[in-house]
Amino acid sequence: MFVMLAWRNLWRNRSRTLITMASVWCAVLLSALTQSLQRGAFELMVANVVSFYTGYLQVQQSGYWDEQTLEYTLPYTDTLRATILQYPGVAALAPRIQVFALASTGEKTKGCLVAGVEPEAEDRVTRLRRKITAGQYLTDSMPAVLAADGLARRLHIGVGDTLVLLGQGYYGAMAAGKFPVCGILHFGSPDLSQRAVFMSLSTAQQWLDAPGQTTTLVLSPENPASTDKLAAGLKASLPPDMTVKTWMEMMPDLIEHIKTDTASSAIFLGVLYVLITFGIFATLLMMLLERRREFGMLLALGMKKGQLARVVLYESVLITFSGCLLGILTGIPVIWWFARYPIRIGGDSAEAFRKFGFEPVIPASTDPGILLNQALAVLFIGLVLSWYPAYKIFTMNPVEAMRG
Amino acid sequence: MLLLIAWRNLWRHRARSLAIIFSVVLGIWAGAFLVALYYGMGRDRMRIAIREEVSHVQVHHPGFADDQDAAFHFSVDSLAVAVKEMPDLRAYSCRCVAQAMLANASGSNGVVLYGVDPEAENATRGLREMVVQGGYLTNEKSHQLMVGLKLARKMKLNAGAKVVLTFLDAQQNIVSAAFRITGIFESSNAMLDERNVYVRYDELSTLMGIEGRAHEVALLLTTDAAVPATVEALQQKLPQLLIEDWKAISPETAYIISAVGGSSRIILIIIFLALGFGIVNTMLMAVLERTREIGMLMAVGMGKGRVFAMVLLETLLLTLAGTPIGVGLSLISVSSLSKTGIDLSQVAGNMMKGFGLEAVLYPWLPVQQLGEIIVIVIITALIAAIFPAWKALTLKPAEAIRR
Repeated sequence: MFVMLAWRNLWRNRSRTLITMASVWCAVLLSALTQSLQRGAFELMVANVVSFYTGYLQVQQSGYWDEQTLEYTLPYTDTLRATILQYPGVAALAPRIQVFALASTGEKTKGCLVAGVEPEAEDRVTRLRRKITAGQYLTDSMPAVLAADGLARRLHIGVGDTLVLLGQGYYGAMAAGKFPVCGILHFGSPDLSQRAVFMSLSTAQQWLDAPGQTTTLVLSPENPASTDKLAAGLKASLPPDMTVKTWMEMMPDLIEHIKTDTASSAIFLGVLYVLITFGIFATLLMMLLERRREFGMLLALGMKKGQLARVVLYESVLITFSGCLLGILTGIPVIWWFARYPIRIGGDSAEAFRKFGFEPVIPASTDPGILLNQALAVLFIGLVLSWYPAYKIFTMNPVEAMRG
Repeated sequence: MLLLIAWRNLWRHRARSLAIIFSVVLGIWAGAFLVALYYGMGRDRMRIAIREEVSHVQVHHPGFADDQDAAFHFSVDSLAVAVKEMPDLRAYSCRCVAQAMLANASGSNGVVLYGVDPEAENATRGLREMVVQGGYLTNEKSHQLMVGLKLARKMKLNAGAKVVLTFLDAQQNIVSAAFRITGIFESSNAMLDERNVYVRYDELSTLMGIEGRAHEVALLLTTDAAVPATVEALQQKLPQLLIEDWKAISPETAYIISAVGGSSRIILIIIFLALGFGIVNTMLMAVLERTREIGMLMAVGMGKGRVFAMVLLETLLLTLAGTPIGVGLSLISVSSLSKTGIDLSQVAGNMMKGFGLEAVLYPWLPVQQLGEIIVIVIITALIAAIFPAWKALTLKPAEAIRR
């Protein structure tokens, strides 16, 4: 009965209903958009940083992470490969053998990080091919190396020059090799640009006298958001002497940075909520002013204040509810659009992004949880505000209201 | 005349007028507060970077940046003459720098070894205040070393512990020397606390065979504004050396500051969308509510143009009334918070430190930004008023009165 009355009231003054609904709708849309832009910026940053080198996940021999030497190698067998690739949620796998070595041209010698990789697999996981600025990419059989640009500059070498690599082999003996430089790489990370050298896995295994051995298997998950779960599940299904490291464990600094940004964006969202709350409140207030006479009349005719308050409460709840629903429905294409065509940053900021090898864009995150959470938050705000008109009715003097 | 009608209309509907004024106030405050927050964060980062890390200006040999090679040194004496002539100089510190391995029984770690004059370094970077365990470098004892807290934790070092530093001298010979840790420091940037270690300049320059010469000079100026002029003046006096400001030396700081600029613009757009939508809604409600009144005005001969102008004028008046209040409120809240600061550690824990930021944020609102916000708010309000004003035009007088 009361719901029915509320329903009819809503239809009686459609434009008013629509305006109030629009303010709720706008609130949902803006807060969801804000949140997904912020989350999207984080996700992009993580994707950028893990694609430098680390990847989202690494399978290693237990103990390797702390020591990073060939004492903790991982035999890369077909069964291991099959086990990991068949595990649900794993999108790609790139095996690596990684050692610290000295790179020399005869007159100059620098410390470097040598990574033996399967060229095609590595490209799928960290997009190594795109980082080439001169020369060409590795092939499986070619005994050549890719050198990072910073290292190449310090050693004064270019494509076609020869690099001597000195390191410690698998059995502890000195590993020495001469390799032609087939390409130059550029990394966003200054650290990698100063010291990275890449060669094919088979070349590296031969150089280090470690056939069939790797130090890490870099994995990329199908869904980066579920990296944690994937790591835990994968670890349980692997032999006990292997461990799975996530990017969060390998790069604690990045996590700290994200938490910093989360703190300031929480403040931002708080301020936005204040604005939104007031926007909805203002429309409710206007509605009350406009309908004083009507309410006064109903009360004078004998409608109980409680009954009238209930009708008005139902109205506000209905409006809030449908506004939120509408916000979710329209939010999906809007957020999708910003995810597909991310906002481009211009000017100085863009320059700074590029310096670090990042594309200067802010994409929206398409995590459906964001839209839902923001809609629920606005629904909560709307429901709390809905009590205000009801409360006003209780304090209303019908005679005065009718006169106004 | 029209102004008078608009003015009276506002007073006739006080609650509605107040609602719009309040949303303008809120819009200005929200915009100003958030911009101040972001600018404050950028300025904090810049100040910490200058005060604790890179100082305002640094001088190197042009070959040093690429290679950090110990062979690229220059004479301290001739440089000191030029540096002391700078009018805005507050302090400067000459350093020799070596890429070193720090080793003890538990392992080894790559570090950047700085040889500094204790007093000059303290005047430039305030290193003495950063000591959290043990004491600062003194001129009495020999072979003293200061390490950062993060490195100390990583390698389980305590004040008094002995370590061996191995590095190349200027002739590329390998040098090893034992040092005893006198103190452990903690700066705002944990990354540097892991990487930088300090010994006395006289000892390191002797070990490296470059007495009276340095790899790096850092200058602290009296004001940030003096940086470009100082760089230029020094470059003229020392054409063979590379003079760089803090932005060039610490590009990540410049990156953070400009990223702040980029994202604060997006934030402002969202805030103004929310504000504009609030005003559209309220004014639209107001116009619809006044259907009868506006219909009457039109019926007695008020032209469409005038009705349109009247509604716009009402919004303009309300915005102008709200603006000073909003500005006042923002100035009060920002200036009081810029003294006490906002403690983000309640939201983020102690996470800010890892990235070279303090946990307490001091908002800062540049005057120019406030001006921009005011202009944008007024424009937003006027644009937001056009739709309701246009809506008022579409009313048919006869029908409107009948309702």
